[in-house]
Amino acid sequence: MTSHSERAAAFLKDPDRVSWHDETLWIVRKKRDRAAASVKEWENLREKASKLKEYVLSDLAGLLTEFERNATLNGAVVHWAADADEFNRVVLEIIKSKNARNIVKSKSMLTEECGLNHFLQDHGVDIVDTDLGERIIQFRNEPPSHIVLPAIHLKKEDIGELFHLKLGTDRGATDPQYLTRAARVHLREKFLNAHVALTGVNFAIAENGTVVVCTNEGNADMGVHSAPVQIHCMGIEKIIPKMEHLAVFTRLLARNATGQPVTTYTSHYRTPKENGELHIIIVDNGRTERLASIDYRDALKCIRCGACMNTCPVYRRSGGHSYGFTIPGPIGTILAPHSVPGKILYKDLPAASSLCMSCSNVCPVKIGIHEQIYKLRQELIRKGYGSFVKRAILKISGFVFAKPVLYDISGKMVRIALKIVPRFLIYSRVNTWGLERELPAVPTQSFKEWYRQNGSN
Amino acid sequence: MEAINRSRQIIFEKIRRATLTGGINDGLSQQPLVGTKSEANETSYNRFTESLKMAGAEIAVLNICDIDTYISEKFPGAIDLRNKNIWEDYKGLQPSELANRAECVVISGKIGVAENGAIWVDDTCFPERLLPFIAGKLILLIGEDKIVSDMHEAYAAISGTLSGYGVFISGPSKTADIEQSLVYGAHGAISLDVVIMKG
Repeated sequence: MTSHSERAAAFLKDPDRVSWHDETLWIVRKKRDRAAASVKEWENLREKASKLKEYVLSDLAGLLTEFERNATLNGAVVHWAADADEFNRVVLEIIKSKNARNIVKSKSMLTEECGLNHFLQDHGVDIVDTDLGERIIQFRNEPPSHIVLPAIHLKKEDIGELFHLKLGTDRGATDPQYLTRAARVHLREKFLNAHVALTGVNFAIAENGTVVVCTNEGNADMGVHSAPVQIHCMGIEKIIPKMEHLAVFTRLLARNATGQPVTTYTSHYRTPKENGELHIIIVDNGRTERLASIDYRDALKCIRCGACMNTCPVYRRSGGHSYGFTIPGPIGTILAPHSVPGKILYKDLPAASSLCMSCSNVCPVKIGIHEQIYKLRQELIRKGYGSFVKRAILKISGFVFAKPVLYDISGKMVRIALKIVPRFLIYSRVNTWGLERELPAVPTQSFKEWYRQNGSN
Repeated sequence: MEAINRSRQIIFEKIRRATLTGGINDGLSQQPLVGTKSEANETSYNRFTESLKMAGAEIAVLNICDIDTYISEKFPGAIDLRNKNIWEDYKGLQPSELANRAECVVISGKIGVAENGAIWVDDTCFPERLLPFIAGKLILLIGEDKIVSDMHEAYAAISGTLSGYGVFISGPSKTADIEQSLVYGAHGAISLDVVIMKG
């Protein structure tokens, strides 16, 4: 398997595209800043949201029980799935029991996490992603590169070419409005003939058993209200206690995600439609293991706004696919390594960070993302996963830094060595730092020496 | 079914264990109260119209007595769902039939939210849930006195009276999934007209 830096290097081969990606996401970040600044009580809202999510994690069992009771009273069928495989099988069973063929899905990172699309395809069920960006990447057989902007890695020329092949749009046509209209016609046909509609869940309300879904396109509603059977999939952490708490989260979510004051549609599904069925699948898939970990539990507070990606200097320049995990960027970095209970995976991701803390600063629920990345690095080194070179360097440095005389001598030696050793040795393969960078000019003396000469004046 | 119940049991058992070993404070004495109010200098009315314009909606402000004429002139053939007598004509229709018949739909909204231009509509406003989405043109009416300042006020008004389905709509359906270029009319309404009713 390739590492983050290797995949990032592949993305970096097209400098124009990288600049576009970087600048475009930075524009989204600036829109977010303006939206946040327009709400005077913004910091207060973040604090409330953070506290609410902490409360939720402290009383998950109580809230889930209350939610299940109320949803059942509303006429919904509540299912439980311990892991991805069980989740996929529950969905398949519902589909099979209805002899359903046409399945539409609006955005759900949980179904990506569980690999639902491939599972259903393997069982002969065709599932159509209906969010425009999701449909684009489904046509390309790619995972999303961003949790809110799934096709942000593509240019309109790529999409024009793709739609020409898949939807018969004019060759060379790249106008976003023209392409969007073509997708509208294509997906309307899918909606109107849908037997089952699947959605993710942004928030589930314990006190009345309602699930809430936020979209701009209206695809969740088009599917849910067209199909006789609706299925909403959620992780156990999506629960919130009361309707009034939605106010805090809906005020934060869209502003923080794209800079809009609210998503175009904020839909509240409580009861099934007449003659319809409403299923809710509640999934664990490793969340309870995370809940038991004091160090990494906070990641469960995430409301999937994507702001940490937009602001991340590494994400913007390496692209979402470089992370290799369903959820990219800083939040993906802290979710990936412990995403499968009992294993440590994606060990390269904690290094894909400059620890600049920007992710934590924009997080609407105040997850200490950079702190968790730092903890992951320490854990990985402690457990012996660092590369041989890195471990050797850290060991030697620790030894030298602990002995002032040795430190002075080595400093002097390095200053001399850097002047006389040939370039190809200094910038050898061991020095990965030097691949893209030049070492600073070598000073003639150390600060200590300089201070001895000049400090007393 | 049995397997699913077993999973339920396993999940709850793991939550219980996590709560004990993970050092989570099991009994936070009370839920954090919301009690947040938005602060703004502008009047709710101005913020509401500004927010809607930003979201891509057209706005008209009319006296109640002028509304029928306005709608029949500007949107001839629109399905006016304020008239509940016609609801039976649409109940139980297949989505494709609704798509053919409902090009332009008028719906009376219940709450307008100043801070973001969102308008609340629910099961009591239309005979079929698909109607506000399947229509190419959507017209939402809202009484001037129904505009609240923020989402806190809006949810306070809704929470006791939530019907089977309800949605905040702010603007026409939109997407920016192709190179971040904003396009109206992704899947839902291509245009949204909001009529603010005075008097």
